[in-house]
Amino acid sequence: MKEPLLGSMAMPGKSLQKACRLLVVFCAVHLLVTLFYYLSGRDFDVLQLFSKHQQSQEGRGSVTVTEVARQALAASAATGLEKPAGDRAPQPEEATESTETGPPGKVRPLPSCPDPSPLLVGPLQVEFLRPVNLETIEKENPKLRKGGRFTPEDCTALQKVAIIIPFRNRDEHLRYWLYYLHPFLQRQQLDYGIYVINQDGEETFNRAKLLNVGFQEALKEYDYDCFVFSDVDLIPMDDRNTYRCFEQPRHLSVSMDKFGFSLPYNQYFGGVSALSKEQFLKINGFPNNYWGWGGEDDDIYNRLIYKGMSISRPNAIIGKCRMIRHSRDQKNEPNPQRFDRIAHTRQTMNSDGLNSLKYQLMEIQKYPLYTKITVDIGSPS
Amino acid sequence: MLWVDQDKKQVAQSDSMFQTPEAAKMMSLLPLILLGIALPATQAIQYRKCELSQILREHGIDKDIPLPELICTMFHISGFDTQTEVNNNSNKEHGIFQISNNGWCAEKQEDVAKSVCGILCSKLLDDDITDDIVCAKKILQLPERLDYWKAHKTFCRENLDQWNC
Repeated sequence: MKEPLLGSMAMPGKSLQKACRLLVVFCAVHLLVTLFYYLSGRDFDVLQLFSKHQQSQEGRGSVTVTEVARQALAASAATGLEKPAGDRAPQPEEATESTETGPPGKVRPLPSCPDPSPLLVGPLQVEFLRPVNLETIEKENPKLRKGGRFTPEDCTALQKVAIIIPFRNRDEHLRYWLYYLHPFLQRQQLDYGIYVINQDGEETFNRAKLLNVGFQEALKEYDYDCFVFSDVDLIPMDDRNTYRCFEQPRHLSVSMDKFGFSLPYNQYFGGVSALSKEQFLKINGFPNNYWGWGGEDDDIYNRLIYKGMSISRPNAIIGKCRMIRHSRDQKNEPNPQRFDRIAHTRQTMNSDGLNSLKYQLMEIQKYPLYTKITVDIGSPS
Repeated sequence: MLWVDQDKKQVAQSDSMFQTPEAAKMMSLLPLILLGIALPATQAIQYRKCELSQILREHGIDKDIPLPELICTMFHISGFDTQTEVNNNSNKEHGIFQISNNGWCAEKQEDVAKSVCGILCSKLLDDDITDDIVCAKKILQLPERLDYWKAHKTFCRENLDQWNC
């Protein structure tokens, strides 16, 4: 009875078992290859965490770097300031901090800080896997003053830089930004302040208008001569990328991991940029009418070109940045009007900008690591 | 389980087809191994400029329109992301070519036959862009051709060398 049954089942049973074995092998191979693609797509973020010779035992690479920088600062203070200040002759300067209190006890004028700064270390390790908290950042950056202000003690900074960050509901990103950028900016020996411009309310996000507000509010505090405009989720990977102003408007985020560490297109001016006070005023600041994602950076690019300026950039190695990956924000949908608007920059730039800026200041909060300015910037007209 | 022993007998008999059992296994595994490597590479796509250019060339979309201008336009409307979905006033635009539901694709199955491209809009959001390309070719038959997409006029009529591959 069993024999004939088995006889008829023998052929399908054999191929079925063979198919099952093949399927298991296939799934295993598929899983391995998918894992490989996943890891390579992440630019070896995870793999770097395990590479011992690049990381210290206790913390991230940038922590070690901060200590090195502190030692270097202490050493240069001890040996005095006899080293030549780069290619610029040291100029005695009177106290420049007229509208706010600078570091106490500063009487003697200092020589200019060298360009480039001797504290730079070059490429940095940047990753977003481990959480950071504000207390740790404060402890690691004891030279900061309230509101996220820093002035180099041993030399006069080359520029007074206000860093303006458009913001809404991105506290986790801001913590990473502060963690990486405060040591970075101090090594660049800049006289800087951090201004987080927080859009009040639930209206569609307007990045450029917030940046206009940042420019105006920062100037009320101190006579900054340079303005760096940075998205909150962009972290530079090399401190030779100086966050200061140049002869021409400067594009700083040229080589983003999101775009395969290259410029997505030649006219791209988004992410992180730096304009001197004069350059900013020359273009009537930024447009106020770009609500939603996209286009405002292209409008700014157009403004600069129409006023005869050009874009200055670091090379693709020094200009490397990482973007903190995140899902698309609610209330910051791609702006469908952006292509039409960009086509009319020339006509609109003289009437839409700093000279038409209207907003309501809600609150100014001075935290140890940054100044948070909450504004009501209205809604699309 | 009962037929396992029988299988061993059957396998032993059929092995005479190949030189060794190991060679037989390799032969049958090879296509599956290749498939296993190929399949992950086609999932979750954010295209790069030149790989997308190659695909478009293979589909012959550049017969009547310059490829750099098309690639430039596609970057500015979707960033080469197959899952891009954008609200444009009362319409919705889908996929790598940002194809609109106002007549080109249909949101609901019952409207598919009425749409020009005869396709469900959600199908334009998956990683297979063959159907997207077919629909885009229909859009390019309009008199305005690439100017159908506003980004083309704004970004893609000059400085085109950067879009070559």
